[in-house]
Amino acid sequence: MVRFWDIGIKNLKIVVRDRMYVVMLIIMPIMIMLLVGLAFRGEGTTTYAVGYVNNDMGAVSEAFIEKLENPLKEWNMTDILSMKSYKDTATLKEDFRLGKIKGGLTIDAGFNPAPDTTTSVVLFVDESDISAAANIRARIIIVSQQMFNPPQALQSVVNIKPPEEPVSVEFSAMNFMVIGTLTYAVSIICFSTALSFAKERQSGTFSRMRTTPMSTMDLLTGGLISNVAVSLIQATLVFGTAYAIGFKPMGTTDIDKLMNMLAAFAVTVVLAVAFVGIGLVLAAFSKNEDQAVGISWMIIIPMMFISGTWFEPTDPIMNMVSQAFPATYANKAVRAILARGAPLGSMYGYIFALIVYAVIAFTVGVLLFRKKTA
Amino acid sequence: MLAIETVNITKKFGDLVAVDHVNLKVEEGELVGLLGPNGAGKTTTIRMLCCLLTPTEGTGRVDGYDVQKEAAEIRKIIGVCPQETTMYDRLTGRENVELIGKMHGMSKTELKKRSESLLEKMELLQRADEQIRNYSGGMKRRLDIIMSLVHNPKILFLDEPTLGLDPAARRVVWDFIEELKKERKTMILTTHYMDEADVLCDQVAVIDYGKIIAEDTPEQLKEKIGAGDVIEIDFTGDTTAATKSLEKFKFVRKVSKVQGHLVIVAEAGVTKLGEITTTLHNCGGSVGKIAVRQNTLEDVFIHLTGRKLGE
Repeated sequence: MVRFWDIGIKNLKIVVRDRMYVVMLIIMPIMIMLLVGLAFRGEGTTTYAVGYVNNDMGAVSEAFIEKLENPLKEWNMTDILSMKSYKDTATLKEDFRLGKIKGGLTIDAGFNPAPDTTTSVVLFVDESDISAAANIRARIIIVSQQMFNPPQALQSVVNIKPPEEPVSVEFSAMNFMVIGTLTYAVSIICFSTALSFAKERQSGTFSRMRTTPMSTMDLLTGGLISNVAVSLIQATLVFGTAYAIGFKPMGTTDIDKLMNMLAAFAVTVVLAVAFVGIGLVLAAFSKNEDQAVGISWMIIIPMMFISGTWFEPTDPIMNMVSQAFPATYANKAVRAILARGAPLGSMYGYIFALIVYAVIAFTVGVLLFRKKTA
Repeated sequence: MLAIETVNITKKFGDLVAVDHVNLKVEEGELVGLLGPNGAGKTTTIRMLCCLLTPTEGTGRVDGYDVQKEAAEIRKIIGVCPQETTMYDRLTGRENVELIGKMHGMSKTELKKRSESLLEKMELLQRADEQIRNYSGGMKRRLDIIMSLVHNPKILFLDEPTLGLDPAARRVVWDFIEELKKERKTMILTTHYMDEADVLCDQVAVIDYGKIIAEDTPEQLKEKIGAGDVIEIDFTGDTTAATKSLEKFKFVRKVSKVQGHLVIVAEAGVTKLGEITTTLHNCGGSVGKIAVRQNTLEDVFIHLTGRKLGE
């Protein structure tokens, strides 16, 4: 009885006396709750940009579009759509691919819904953004109900049709999860980098190697190479597995699809380098392996929540905060390429941000690691 | 030229002075032992000389190179066997050895030849291709020494090289160090083991609380506290009175109280046991177990500090 009690007390003392443990056990759950709460608070406060081509040009269709953006006060709805006019569907689709708009609406001539007449519109939305897709569709239906008074509640007189040629991957749980999982899988390299460098320090092998002509830079570059190599293998396996179980990226031909997979792979490689840099920074702050593990997860998990890995934050402020994480840029680029078929070249903004992030993270990591191990 | 020289080398960690103005001179081809208890500053001294720690004060030179300014040059010519076994668990013994050789820029052929020969000498060749997580503590220790020697360093630092080894493994290491001495390799060895320092070292520096308190050959150090026998007696009476009474005898060189018993250094002590025990009885205490032996470096340490190395 006394022994296990003493052991229990000993364990508690160790936990309480290690600040990092306290942070992991107490502050981390609070932090995640705050992040999730903030990222998804006020559903509907986010504005989704929707492009439209109005081939009808009539007063009814113009009024419909106007109400989509600014619903009447008595309808008791918040403004969630920002409508942007396009002259043709080609430009509309191009901007959609580049991620400038979340959906595209085409209204053909003769748009005149009435309680006893149904009219069709063509709509495509970013199916990989579950929140945007649901909100845009729902808003079109609700506004049409309010404007054109269908005979039965919950019935729409505006029929939503998909475009003849798909513009986004079809929504399925797998398509939705696969894209997020790719960047999540690569982010784990941050954890293994921090762990391996912390282990080198804790076990004394780093000190031993420093008694040889090896420089700290040799060790860090070696670490970068091995961890990026692991990440490449990891990304290849994840992509391969996704493909094998039926994930089909956007693309008109098989070659297109393969090229899009390769383009997304290229983005994840740059992300891997950035994560190795972050891992190095974390290793510099970790006194031992346990701390390296804890600190890494403290970064990875919140980052996954707010960087759009699975869900895009609906809160505009958290959306801004998410710009601080490399995964945000990778998610945007990978989604654009795989879900909307955007060409790799058009993602230069995100890729440039990732490269800058990778260079800064690695440089800061090297400097910190050198300082802490001097 | 001196192989190693420190001038007032000092290392402070906050308020703690781990190494306090240490002056050390090691000639080429000499084996100098740093002898002292845990926390005396032996390892810190070695870490400064290996350029792993920056001295707070003073200077250190290894083969003429300054430890603070010419670390890169020093790293090319030293071999270090750290106090704790430090190697990559998931690598084989051979891979660990070869990794260090590669860091020193050894050619493949040279490295293969050298590692093979060292593994054989240390009786590890048969298990050289096993991952070292399967090695015993003794095997790891021997591998540590091989790793420090694979590149044939000019100067070798051995930090407690036989710590935790069984007597047979210890013997293997001792023989190996003797062989290195014949090659006139300069070595600094730290140890807790008096017999090790006694047998192996040309010079011994006794270090305590960061300071060198004595430095000489093992023989000279023992000579300084007086030739003769060391008599250890379990005594329950008034040790102060007993010490005073015993010190009146001309044959008694020194009396100390260590860990509950009296340690008496006496000339021809074996023949004087009767007089000593009678004196102790007269002091009003009872005499228990008596042990007589030749004086050792441990007695030197007791003489200098008033306590045993392990205290």
